[in-house]
Formats: sequence, C-alpha cells, structure tokens
Amino acid sequence: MAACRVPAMGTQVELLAVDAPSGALTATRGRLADLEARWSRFRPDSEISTLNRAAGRPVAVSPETLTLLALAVLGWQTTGGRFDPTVLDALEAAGYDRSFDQLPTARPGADGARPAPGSAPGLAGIRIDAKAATVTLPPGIRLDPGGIAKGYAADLLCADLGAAGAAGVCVNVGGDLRVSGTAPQGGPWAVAVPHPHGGQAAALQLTEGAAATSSPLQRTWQVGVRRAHHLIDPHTGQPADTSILQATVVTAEAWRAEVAAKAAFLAGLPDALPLATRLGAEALVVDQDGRLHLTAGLQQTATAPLAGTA
Amino acid sequence: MRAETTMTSRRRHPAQASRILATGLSAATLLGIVAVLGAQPPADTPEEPAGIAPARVRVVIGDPGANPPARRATARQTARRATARRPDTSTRPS
Repeated sequence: MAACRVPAMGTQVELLAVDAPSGALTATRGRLADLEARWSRFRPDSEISTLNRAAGRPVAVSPETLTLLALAVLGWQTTGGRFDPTVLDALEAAGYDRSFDQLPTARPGADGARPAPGSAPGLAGIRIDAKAATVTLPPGIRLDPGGIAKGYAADLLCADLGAAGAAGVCVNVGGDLRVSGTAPQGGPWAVAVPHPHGGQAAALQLTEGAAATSSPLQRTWQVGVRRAHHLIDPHTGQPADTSILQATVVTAEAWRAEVAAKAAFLAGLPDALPLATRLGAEALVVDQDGRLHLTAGLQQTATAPLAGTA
Repeated sequence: MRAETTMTSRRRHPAQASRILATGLSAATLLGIVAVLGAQPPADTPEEPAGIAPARVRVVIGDPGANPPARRATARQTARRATARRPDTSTRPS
C-alpha cells in the first residue's frame, strides 16, 4: 500500500492507495495543491477570491471550480438552504477571518468579532454559464467553499487514483473521506467515527462511498467570554446552537456527505435523521448528552463490537 | 488544460457539452447539476439511487479496537505496531 499525509486545505490530508502504480500519489498530491490554489478563500489569487472580488461581473473559472459551484448550488437547493456557502460575511464577522492555524485562540470581545450581518443571502442569484465557463455572483455576495470543497476534493482525488489503476483508494481530507475498492487487508475500508466525549463512537465498514462529520467542537475560538465555532446558521448568520454535538453522514460521494453532515447538524434532532434519509444518506448523530442516534438504514446493519468475534 | 472526463464511452451526457467535470460524480449528481444549469437531461439517462445502498455500509457501535486481543502479541509485533504510523481513516469532525 502506498500512503502519504500532507497538510492542505487547512487540515491534514491522507492518501492511501492499494496496488497503485509508482508516481500515482505524487501526481495526486500535485492535483491537491492545484485544487487548494483554486479554492482557498485565504489566497488572494485563488479563483474563489477573484470571484468574490468581482461580484456582479462574469469570471472565467476552471472546470473544477465550475463543477464545485454547481455542486454548491445543488447542495444549497437539496438541503433547503441549510448548507449555504454565502455565509462568508457571517463567518468573518464571527472572527474566522484568516486561515485557522493563524487564528488566535482568544480575542478581546471588542476586537474579535463584528456584528453578525444577519441571514445569509443564499445562492439564488448566482449565474453559472457552463459553456462559457464563467460564474457571476450577484453584487454583495461572497462565497466560502469550506463546507464542500474538502469533500469534492476527496471525490476528485479518489477518482484520479482509481483511474491510475489503484485497486483500493481512501482519500481523507481532514475527516471528509471517500473510499473505493478494497482495503489493504482486503474487504471493506474501516472508518472510525470518534465520539465527542472521547474514544470511538462507532466503526463504519465501507466498500464504496464517503463519510463526513460536522461538530461545533472543532474549529472553535474564543471571542471575549463567548465561544465561537465555524458552523454558521445561514438563517441567523451566527454560530449555530443545536441539540447535536456531532453529525456523521455516509453516502455515495464526499461532497454530498460533507454538505449533508452540516445540514444534519443545523437541523438538530429529531429532524436530522429524516433529512439525511431524504438526501440519500445514512447518518449517525451524537446528541448533547452523548447518546447515539442512527438512521433506519444504519440501524439495520448495526452490530455490537463483540458480535461475531472469537 | 485538463481533459474533461467522459461519463461513458458510448453516450454523451449533457454535462460533457459544458465545462462540468464528471470525474468522481454519480449519474444522479450529474443530473442534479444539469438541472441546476437549466439543461434538459437526456431521455436515456440511467436511474441511480442518489445515496449509498445500506448493504454497502455496516456500522459497529462502540470501539472494536477496545476488545482484548484473542492472542497475546509478541514483543516484536508490539514494537513494530508502536513504531508504524497508522493510516488515518477516521471521519473526524472538520
């Protein structure tokens, strides 16, 4: 098995390939760097930053960015606006205005955050011209692809490694992961789901598909006496407070899993599970008391850890 | 410029006529993109579930790794495991 871990997209990216030809991982790392250069909101020369500065005018973008933004619209539509990449102003107002590794863990209240800008504008006004390969944002709208880009990157890189001839692939972009084929030991890939209170909540055995997890306990920072996090409720423009501590979603594609995990968290219980099902996904949710809640499809497959072992 | 990936070798999908990449995406997602772009899907587009069939994912509740091993590992095995970097296949929150 070939494996490497590289820092990218503000997190650690793990590339695992079974029986991959030599050079496949190197090429995949290059593709990852290329995607980050196109999509980072922290790089002034990225396609996303260019788009955010040119609101109201068409901007030529790469096929990768065009597809990412079409997927973002699809995710926004299918989640009823719970996934909304137009929360960038709200995210910055909450204090997340630079790469997370450069974010101070605590800021004085007066300095750390601006007033929330209110509800996010949504993607209704975006124009994607697929033939001309241009995207036009309405004036006043800026995008943060952070809630979908890592997942779609996992999808692209997994497909790349599969096309290169790998018999099995796992691409893990900071927890948003996509697998295909067989694991190194044969059979399905084992995907651990950590419990927010410590230890492991569950292990997924996944042959083909993707998983992603959202939690307000990650990417947090302090503003005055208030704890802020990166999961913005598009309706309020502020970090969301729901009945869910962690939402993990399993589905066919990582972009969809990432979007659905965010939407499930924002929906809270009991709506999160039926929402995941409507999105064609399975979900494992941990509530504020640490209890697990599973969609019906996962319940049918669930076993206790000792079942079937010697 | 990177070559756009074809969905199948025989049929041309409307997404291919544009700059949309089909790479790594299901037919259901491509149909969704086509709808977003305002194009009409072809009549012969195959139907495919949007998600993943439950039979292809199983969940083991708890931590299987917390179980006592059936056989005691040798000192050499223990040392090798301690020094080997384990691949991270966890879906930690992002």
